[in-house]
Amino acid sequence: MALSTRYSLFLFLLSSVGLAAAVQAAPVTSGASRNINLGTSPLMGVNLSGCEFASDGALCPSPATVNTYIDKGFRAIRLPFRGTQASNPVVVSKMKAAVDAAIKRGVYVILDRHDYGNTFDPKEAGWWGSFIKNFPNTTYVMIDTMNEPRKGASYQADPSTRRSYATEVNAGISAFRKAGYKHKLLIEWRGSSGMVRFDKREASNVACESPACSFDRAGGLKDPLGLTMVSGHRYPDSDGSGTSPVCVPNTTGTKLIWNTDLAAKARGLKVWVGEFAFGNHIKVDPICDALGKDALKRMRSLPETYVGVTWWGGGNGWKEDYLYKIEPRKGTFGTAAPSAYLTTITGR
Amino acid sequence: MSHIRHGRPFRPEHLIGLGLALLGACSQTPEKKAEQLVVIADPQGAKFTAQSVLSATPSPSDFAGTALATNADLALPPADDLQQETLQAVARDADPYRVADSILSEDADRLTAGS
Repeated sequence: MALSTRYSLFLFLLSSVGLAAAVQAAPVTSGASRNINLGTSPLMGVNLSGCEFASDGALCPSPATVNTYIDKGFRAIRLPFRGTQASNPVVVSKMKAAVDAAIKRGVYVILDRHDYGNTFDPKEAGWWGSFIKNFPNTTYVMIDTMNEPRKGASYQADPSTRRSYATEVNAGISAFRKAGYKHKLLIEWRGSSGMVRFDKREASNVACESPACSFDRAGGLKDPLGLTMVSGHRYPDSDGSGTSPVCVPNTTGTKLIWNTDLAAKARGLKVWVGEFAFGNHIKVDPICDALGKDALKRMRSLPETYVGVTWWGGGNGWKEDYLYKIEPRKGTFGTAAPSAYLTTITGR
Repeated sequence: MSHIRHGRPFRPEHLIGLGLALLGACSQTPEKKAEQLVVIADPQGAKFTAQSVLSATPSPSDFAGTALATNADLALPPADDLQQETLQAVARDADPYRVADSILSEDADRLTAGS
């Protein structure tokens, strides 16, 4: 009987410990975004595609294109390019011209390395440390370190090296800052930077599967200058890929993005929505329209968290039938009356 | 329980024993569970009846103190998120507008044809 009681006590304590351990640790508050203030938040911006279409830079947006988009009401421009283009002085020169045109108008530019490569780390920081010398303006030029990364350290720390996604990101930021650069940084994550999967609220006794968990277990996202934010992407089709005109029914725009904003807010981090789209210049499906407008309402309701959004589909290189083409038929954007979609996404 | 009836001093094991009893109850078959629930609901030992089972069935008010799901709970990724992530990547890879150097934009078509 005594033995049975002790055995029962052991089992009970074991189950109690197990239950206690299966709780998520408290989010780690970070000061990584503390000094980001771009004025009115969230800023309405646009992706100006073109450079990334042709390796020789033939389709990079011109200063005239940049000015047209600014005239239409956008206050930030995300400029996608391929890393390999950084070695081509012709492409770099075109990018500089576009960036200078935006700066001249007081518009922010996000240089977007559109390579689907490694998550940010010291090696990537070294690459940016070289390339960013072409863009010394630290007020208006920001860096999207890697678009939708597909490689890099795992979210869970390696047991032997202690390296994880978060420790590598932090080491990359540290290296970039030590080199003396003060540009604002945007950090993305694997899984297409999906805003639905920034935080999986992992219990403390299981491996991390999300960036939020990884940051928490590394002591938080760290930037000594407080100029780093997280940047997620979201499209309202069923798999979030942005390849179908059919939007998800029976949900809200809020639910498409709140996984990221709730987790960011709990950690004191700010968010840039790097890509989002829900229509084009010709039409907006009513379901998509409702989702997009609700997401926008959500962003506006959290100005301390959402710094800005850059809508996908800008640039004059898209085919006319592209799902998310923002501007009307080539050559008419400057004079055309704004479409309903344009009016919504510029916030006018 | 017999310890208490005989006036022995209360010891932590009593609570542990109660916990184990509750855990054990949870692992019983539904019939056995229902029978035990009746005992708890009717300490006078009344005969098991359908009505006594009903009286032991929890009502919404029994959960008044239960924490409601927070927004953070509701905002969790869907259960099939890994599958969604795969579908998303596959769709992206197959999208002619998104493939690296696919050069399918309007200008690019023209440039390619003219070169």
